[in-house]
Amino acid sequence: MSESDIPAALYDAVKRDLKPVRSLVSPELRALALLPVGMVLLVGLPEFWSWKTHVALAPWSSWGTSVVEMLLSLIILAAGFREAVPGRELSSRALAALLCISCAAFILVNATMRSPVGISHVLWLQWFRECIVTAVTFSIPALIAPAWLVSRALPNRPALTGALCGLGVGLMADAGLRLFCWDGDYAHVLIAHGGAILILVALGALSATVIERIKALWLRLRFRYS
Amino acid sequence: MELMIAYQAGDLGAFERLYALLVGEATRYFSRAHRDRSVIHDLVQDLFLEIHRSRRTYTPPLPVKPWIFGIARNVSARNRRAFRLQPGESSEQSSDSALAVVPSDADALDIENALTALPSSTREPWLLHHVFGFSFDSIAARLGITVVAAKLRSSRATRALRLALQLTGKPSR
Repeated sequence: MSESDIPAALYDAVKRDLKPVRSLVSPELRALALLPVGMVLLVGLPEFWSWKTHVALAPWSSWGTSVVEMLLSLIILAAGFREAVPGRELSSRALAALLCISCAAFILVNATMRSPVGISHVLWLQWFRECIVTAVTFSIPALIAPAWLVSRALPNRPALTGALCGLGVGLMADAGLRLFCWDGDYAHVLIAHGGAILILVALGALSATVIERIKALWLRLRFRYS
Repeated sequence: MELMIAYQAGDLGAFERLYALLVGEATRYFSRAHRDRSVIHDLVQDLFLEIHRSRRTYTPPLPVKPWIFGIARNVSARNRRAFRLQPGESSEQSSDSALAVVPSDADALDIENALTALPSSTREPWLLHHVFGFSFDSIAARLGITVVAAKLRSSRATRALRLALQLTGKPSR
């Protein structure tokens, strides 16, 4: 095979753009690069909230389980980054296992929450809204980093890749949120904190799909040979 | 794998060897879903272009073929999406109206017949460029394909037309 066997347009396009590139680092290392983001959500978010509202933070045992939840979120992000590389997509069995582990971890970790306090329905609703808004507000900037890392790859299933990143960031945010949440009621935790995670999953899926569409459009405009 | 590493390092010869090694398999891969040879050819070119763009996503020492065929799935899916977004009726209309502007003498009839015989995927870029004067950028945007693909399809149509007109005894232009 020589130059003459490759269509001229393709050959010229490749030749014009050919320059050395560094291959992407492994998904695990890219997930590890998000450790600072995880630390901000795990430590910075509760400390900031405690400073702002003078709320008492959870006991040290809860911090331990939050660390476990944060580590799990890094594993899910690594799975998302792996999913974004062509030919390394996760099998449906692996995806199902990941989803089950995430749900189980979320339920079990939050089962160690402080005992519930008797509160009125009005306050319950207010705290419900507050938790969702806080988690989503703090997590959206955190979602930018994985979205950028995904955009550097070529996901075959962008919505799934984004959803995994959203799940990872959502669990990361929950790890911090549960440390300063006013309401220890299990129903509140499952609905409000779980709802925030679901919103982030949807946002992740949407953002990855949009990014892929924009990327395809940009590449189409960029690659020309004349 | 060595070829891919060399390609990532900027070796054009590695790309040529990679193309030679994979073009057959890539053609067979797309042949499973498409019958039209020109569409398969376009998809193979799109695949190699996408391999070039995404070459940094390959991580040595992982096997190359799963990565390549992962990209092939992506190219295939993108083609399906572009096909869905492209309104079939309006494209037929534009082709028909383009044919209508050709003068109705004997030569024109031959050209019209040759054009009609072309698959719409190559006919349309050719008509849009040579008859309506659209730039390849506009054609690519309009048809939802890359600029390179638009040029490839148009040049393929030109070759096919030239061949068809030679067979009917008309001088090629």
